[in-house]
Amino acid sequence: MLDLSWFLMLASFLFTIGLFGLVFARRNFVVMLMAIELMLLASNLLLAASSVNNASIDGHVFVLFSLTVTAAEAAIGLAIFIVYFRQKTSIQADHPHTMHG
Amino acid sequence: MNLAAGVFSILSCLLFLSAILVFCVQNSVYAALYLISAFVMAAVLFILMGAPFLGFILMIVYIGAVAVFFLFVVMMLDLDALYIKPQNVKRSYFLPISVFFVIFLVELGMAVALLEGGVLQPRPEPLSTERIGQTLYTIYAYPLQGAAVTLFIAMIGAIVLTLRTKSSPYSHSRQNVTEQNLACVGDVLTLVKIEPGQGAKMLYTLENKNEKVHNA
Repeated sequence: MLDLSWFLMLASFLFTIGLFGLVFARRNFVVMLMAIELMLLASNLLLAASSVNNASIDGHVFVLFSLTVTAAEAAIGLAIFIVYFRQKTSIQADHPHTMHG
Repeated sequence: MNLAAGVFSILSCLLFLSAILVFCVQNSVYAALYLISAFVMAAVLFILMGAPFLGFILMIVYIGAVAVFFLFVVMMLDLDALYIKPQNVKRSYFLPISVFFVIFLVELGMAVALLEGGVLQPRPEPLSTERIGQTLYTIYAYPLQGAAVTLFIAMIGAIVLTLRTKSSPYSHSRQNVTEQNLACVGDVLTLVKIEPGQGAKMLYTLENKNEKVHNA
């Protein structure tokens, strides 16, 4: 029998990996988006683990909503990335201010 | 060290390894594949902890939609030209082996969860899919509608951002600040008194007039 602390450790480690990846991801747009996905995954893991631990259904429902937001965020982020790539022919996020118009 | 702890440790080690490798590989296609691997491990962990419905939803949504989004975008934009070319390896063995591995992991998670009665949860009744549905469609009915609206707006936003026409070949969403500053109320707003039955026709002629003025 595992207890919640195992999943707490797992989720916090995964979140930290995602955070470090986001900061040190060679300013690469796609990899930065992947880092955000990993961080959301870690928070989802923790939500579901707490929900199962407390025998409460609300955490499950919130994981579903979080998945919705994740899908929307990935779609919008990749659309912005495609627009950026068309204009700059590069995936380095060095000059994001050029997207002002 | 019982069975559940061992399986949990192996899965979390693989999850950490995949998550770190996402940021360590040079090629973005490989990064997306490692992301998929991390998602598979997380889904099996969901199943192991006693939330099988969420595990399978995670597989469908994350791997089937989000990660394939990433792969699709990375491959469509031909980023290989910017990066080191992947070496020519024999890929014919990889697909069946990885499929077997994923199925094995899912079965392992389900078996351990069944043997230990839901790894996190000592209670006999599991959090069933039926209860999730009942809660989602009664208590959380309005947030569910909000989630649907969010997805709809995201879809429209993605289409508007990436739409290309002949007049604006890069993107439709380009902003002309001078034009915006010079705009006055009459350009963008027309007050029309619409008679019942023929309002749409009137508006249509007005739009045509505006287009003619712009073309001239």
